[in-house]
Amino acid sequence: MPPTESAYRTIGGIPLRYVRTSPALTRVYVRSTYEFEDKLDRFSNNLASAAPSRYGRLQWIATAGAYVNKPGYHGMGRAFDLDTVKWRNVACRPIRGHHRSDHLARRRRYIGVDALARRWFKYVLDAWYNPAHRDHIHLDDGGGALVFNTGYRSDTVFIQRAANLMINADLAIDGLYGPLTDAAFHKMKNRVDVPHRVHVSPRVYRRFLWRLAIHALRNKPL
Amino acid sequence: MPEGDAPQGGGGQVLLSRRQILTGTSVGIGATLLFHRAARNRVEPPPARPATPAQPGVAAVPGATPRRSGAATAQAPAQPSAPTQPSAAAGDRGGPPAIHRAQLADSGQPRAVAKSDAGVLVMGMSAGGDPLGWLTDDGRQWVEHTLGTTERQTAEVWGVAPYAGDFVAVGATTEHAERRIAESGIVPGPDTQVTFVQRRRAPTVWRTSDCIEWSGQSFEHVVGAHAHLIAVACDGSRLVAVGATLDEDGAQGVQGLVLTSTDGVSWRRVVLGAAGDLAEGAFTSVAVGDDGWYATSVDIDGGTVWWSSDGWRWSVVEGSSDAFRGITLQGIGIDRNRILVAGTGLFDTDPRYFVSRTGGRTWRKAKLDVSLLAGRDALVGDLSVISGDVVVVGTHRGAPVLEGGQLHAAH
Repeated sequence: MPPTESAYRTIGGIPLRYVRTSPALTRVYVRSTYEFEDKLDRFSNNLASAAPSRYGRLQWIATAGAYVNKPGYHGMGRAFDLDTVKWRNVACRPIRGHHRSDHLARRRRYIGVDALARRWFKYVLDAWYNPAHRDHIHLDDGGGALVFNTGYRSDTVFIQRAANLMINADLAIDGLYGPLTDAAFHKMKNRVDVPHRVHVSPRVYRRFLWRLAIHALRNKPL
Repeated sequence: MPEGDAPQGGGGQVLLSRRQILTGTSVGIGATLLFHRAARNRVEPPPARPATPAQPGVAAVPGATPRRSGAATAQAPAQPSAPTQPSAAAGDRGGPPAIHRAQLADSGQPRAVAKSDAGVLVMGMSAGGDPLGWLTDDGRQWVEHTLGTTERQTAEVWGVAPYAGDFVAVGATTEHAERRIAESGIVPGPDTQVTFVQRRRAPTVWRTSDCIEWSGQSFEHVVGAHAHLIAVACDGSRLVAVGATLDEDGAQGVQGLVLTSTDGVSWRRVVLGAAGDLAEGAFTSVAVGDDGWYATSVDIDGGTVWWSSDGWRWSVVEGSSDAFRGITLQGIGIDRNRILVAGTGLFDTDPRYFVSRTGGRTWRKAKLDVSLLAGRDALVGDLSVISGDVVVVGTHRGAPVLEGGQLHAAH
């Protein structure tokens, strides 16, 4: 499929912006495969529907690019860089380092957005994954099935950080899936009443991610 | 000398026959790739172009004025004097036609072009994602070669350059591990969903003299678990290949990668330092001129131009990151004292061409003699200077195209 077969300036009806060149909001078209666009639409719909009413309407989403003429999934039209999610009253701004904000609510909001992205994209590379992603979240649909993969650093650092923020697990964010991480993950799954088959069942893993996001976006611990 | 601490490159070098490849007996990183003939494509005759006055330092229309000799080119090992890209005038006189514009096949994405004793080779990717090459030795017909890969091991070829009469190509070989996923949790089962996840992505260099048999070697022990090479250039004695190392999951580029070799077999890694950190990026092209080597890189914010006097010590050309913010760079070529690059916007696909006469410190838009690889229907894959002629490859409305453009003017 051509990597640029679809060009669009909204995902799920929400306008896309570019905020890296100036403070002014620039409306942009992005390109990708149709299949990837469909996943972005669903992600956008999740961002709107999972947020509490006090967030207000989902207004715009800032991106650093989808199809980009370079090696990797961007060059295949199967990747998207997320800079900001703006609801009417609040925002999640990876581009401003909300993952390390002084405000717990912002850090949890970041985890909530991160979790919703993982419902549609296997590779979600966030600020804890490596320094290259301290100012954006990368989403792509490589990496195989949408299940939790203990061998992926991108999955493990997410669960470790989520456990620290949502159940005060006090885990090291090292990307190594050991017994402490496993125990904390089990605890989180129990708290949201999800069976422990997230490694083999995309349906179960996505249910866990949804319930995690619901709590995180409301700044409520598990 | 800032060299890496892991010299002596080279994985096992293997040479296999066509039969071995086609019967699926060739596996393993470092194995040979074989391209087999798939199709022939006609070359579109060179269009009649108005005689335009030659600009100082500007490549002439093929055949309209004599081709320069001795010009520093991007890919300049010793070349035979017999031209494989004859001029349009030569074609008019009954000789081989110039390759000004060629629509290569009905699908595929060209990524690089080079000329060697065997002819002109365009390397790219088929619509199915497999490596694909188009070769012409007479300027009339392009022979299409496709690469056989397996489900568990795939190859990507991104760059190509002439080397000692052969072609050297670079890319990556990826080993995939199979995972079986079932909603029921019972594996395997009738509802099992099989997926392949990347286990190892190793930068790989291939060499061929005839585009039929390719010998390859990979370098995972030099650069770690995941890396790929994107482009390669040669100054007649030294090869420089560029690309990127990838993150732990093999998903995105994290740091630029430069390997050099003086014999095409042993490769050494250049240390780039912190400047080589490229968020979601890679080096994308490399070329050599009279005053040294130039390379382009891209990251999440756009493109950058690099320079090295010797292929070992690399530095960012001052001001280039600002000049190419928001623009990715796909190809670089050097024509005497001018550097040309091809780029694409982060948010639109229109090809952009730029020229610098100041060693990359300042850039102006360049107008190339291209009609298909311009505008919103085009995607540019690479720009090279071959025998003093600016050549661009890419796609037009999804169809692979080569255009041997003439640089009209910088303005």
